[in-house]
Amino acid sequence: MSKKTRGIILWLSPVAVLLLLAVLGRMQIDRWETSAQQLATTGKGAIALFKELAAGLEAAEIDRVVACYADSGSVGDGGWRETLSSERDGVRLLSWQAEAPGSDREEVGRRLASFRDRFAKVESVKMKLDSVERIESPGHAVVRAILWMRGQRADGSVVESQALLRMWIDESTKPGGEGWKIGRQELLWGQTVEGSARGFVDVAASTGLNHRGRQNPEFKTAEWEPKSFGIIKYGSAGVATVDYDGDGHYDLFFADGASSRLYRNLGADGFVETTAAAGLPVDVPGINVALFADFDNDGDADLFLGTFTRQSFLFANNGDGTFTDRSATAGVGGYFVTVASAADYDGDGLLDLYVGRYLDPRVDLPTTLFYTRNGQGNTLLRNTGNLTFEDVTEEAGVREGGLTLGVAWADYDDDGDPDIYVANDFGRNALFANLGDGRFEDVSTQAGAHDFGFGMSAAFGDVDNDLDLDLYVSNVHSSQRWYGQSATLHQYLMTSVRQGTIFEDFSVYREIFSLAGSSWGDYGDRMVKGNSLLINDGEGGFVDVAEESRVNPFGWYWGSGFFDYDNDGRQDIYAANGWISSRSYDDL
Amino acid sequence: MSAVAHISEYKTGRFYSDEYRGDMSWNGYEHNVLLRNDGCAPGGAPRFVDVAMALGADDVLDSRGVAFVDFDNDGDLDLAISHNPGDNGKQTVPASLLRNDIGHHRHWLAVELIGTRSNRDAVGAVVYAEAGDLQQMRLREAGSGYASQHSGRLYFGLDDHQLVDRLRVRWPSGTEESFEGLAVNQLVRITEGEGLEVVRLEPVVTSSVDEAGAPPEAGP
Repeated sequence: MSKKTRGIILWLSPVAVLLLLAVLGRMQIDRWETSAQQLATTGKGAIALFKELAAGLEAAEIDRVVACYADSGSVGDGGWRETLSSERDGVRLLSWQAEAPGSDREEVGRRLASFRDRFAKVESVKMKLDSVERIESPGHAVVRAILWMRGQRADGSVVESQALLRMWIDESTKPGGEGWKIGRQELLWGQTVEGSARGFVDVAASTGLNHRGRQNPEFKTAEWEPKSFGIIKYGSAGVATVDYDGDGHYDLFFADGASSRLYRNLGADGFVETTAAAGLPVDVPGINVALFADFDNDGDADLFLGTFTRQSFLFANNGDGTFTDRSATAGVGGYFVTVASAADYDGDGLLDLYVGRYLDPRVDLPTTLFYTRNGQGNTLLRNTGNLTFEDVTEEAGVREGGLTLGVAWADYDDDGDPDIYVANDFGRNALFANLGDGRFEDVSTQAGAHDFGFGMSAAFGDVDNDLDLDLYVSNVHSSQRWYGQSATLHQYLMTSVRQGTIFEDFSVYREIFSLAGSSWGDYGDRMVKGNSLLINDGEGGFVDVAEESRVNPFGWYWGSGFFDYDNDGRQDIYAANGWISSRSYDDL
Repeated sequence: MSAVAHISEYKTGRFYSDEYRGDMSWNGYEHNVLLRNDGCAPGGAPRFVDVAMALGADDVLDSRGVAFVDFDNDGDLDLAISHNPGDNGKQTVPASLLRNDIGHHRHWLAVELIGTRSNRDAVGAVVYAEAGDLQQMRLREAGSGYASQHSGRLYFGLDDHQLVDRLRVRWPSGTEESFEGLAVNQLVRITEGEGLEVVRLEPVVTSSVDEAGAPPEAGP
């Protein structure tokens, strides 16, 4: 071989390798494109199909329901029998058993019609695509659907039926029967809950609690217009309770981001709005969170007000029902604040503050849909006495750059000092173990507490009465779960390449891989599987039992926590649900 | 309907603008849930059932913060809920105060803590209660959930137990104290190192506003 030939080969081989990679890459990209396209087609088809089925059921037009099923003999479970499984406090719980397997679509229609007839009044029927289990081939998929029927019985009691169904759906091209049809169905679980709807009664108006929530008006100003993240204005609405005047009646404070209000509880005389009389700001926008605590140990509750569009506030309780503004000397920082929680992390007898913050919506977008670390950074404020604080975030190691919407302190590992849990929107949460020397260690990975969801709140409580603290984290599930799949993530990745943002996002991808490994598909489902119930294993770790415990219902959850509403000795959960209600009931 | 269809708009920021969404909701009109803990199956996780609609706590507004508070001093925790107006054309939205008409039919114990060596609010304290075969714990916290703060007075549900056999407090300072044989349906105040006193709770009757009728009878 001549020198010249060898030179040509040496020069050509990297090109050949590159060419080969390009061809293989192109094939891979084509496969990704195809699977993303199939997922989108399947999802859209299923959503339209289930919407039609729900509309037919709601309107009692059973022909429309029957037309949603394939005309091919057996389509599986014909219907469901309800049996009473418990009755207490006026709540009847009926569980469903599938019956009449092998029914054809006419039989399914008859049974659904008779099921509907058990409602004297139907308020709404919804059927949503929960998840796509698998796409068997183009036009054939196995999906899970959730069905709700809400209404009334003949005796006036309210009733809600809910079921999770597995459905085999196929796209038909048969003339006159085009579109997606249900070829087979199987009940995964179903239940009906009936009651008087009188266990809780809204007494806000009749007790004088006339607060009305608004949105932060500063987002309409030139200075604060959220050009990048416009939906920030839909996030605010905090609430705090405290007995600030020590009269034995718990008072309420609403922090809506527009005009905060303190309501004094007078007992038999209801609530009276007393913000200005108590010396608190009446028309200062941007206050997202209120936190009452006795920061100077003088026997009354002082007030921290965390703000988004300005400096935060600290008010001293004067002990006579009024407060004095100490913000100028308090050193409590501010801006982009969403949440806050207090604890004495260094054991000096003074309550410190951990403050959660979000991103700057004027200039920043969450870096990626599924993992974001470009928050403004949270702050740990050490109480140095006399209502002054110093920012010790860096030395404590708890900056945390996620988009924080939940913070909670608790000694989860029972070692005598309080630890911090942080719930972040758009990606991983964080558990910081208190090392007892003023520093914290991020133990999320070893504790199994990352919870890769769109974290919106977090709360500690002992839910299984084994005397350690479990965690409930609210997340997004809603109609997002079905596309939490590798195909979507791959398509996202390709879009980043095309739009040239892949380079700025590269560190984000590297971090996901190091935390979650390369299993993209699983990561996607974990992102949108909904709320988590992290059970403390007593050995420093947590196990998510949300699916088994059925505490990750369909929904888009915000504030949540544990309370034993029925005083039966078991901690129940309340979770606020719903993102943006607009003029149309249809979702983006 | 499909984020897949919106991915190309993600990095442009248009995805997050009101104009892009138009009149469409974004998982709006979803109901709050009240997940009743029905206890653990043997060796398993606790099982829950959503009883929000059946009990009238299934608010459909765009709720955000939730505070658990016994505003009427009747021995159960009520719900104060703060909402965002959303995007349906209304500029304001009324807050909710859902009075709990269930819990006080069962037995309960309320506990207030005052720290002396610990921070005066005793934030970080944990209280353990034993009543017959029932054992449970409560954490005194300040700020959790989403932009929310619950009652600093702690509530134990005791079902039909007539007596709290033992109440144990672990203070933030590390000291532990315990008290035995407490009557139910009362508020006790424990001062660190200085003992326990029973405090009279002044119940607030708001029955005149219970237009919906008599509350359902609680039963086992």
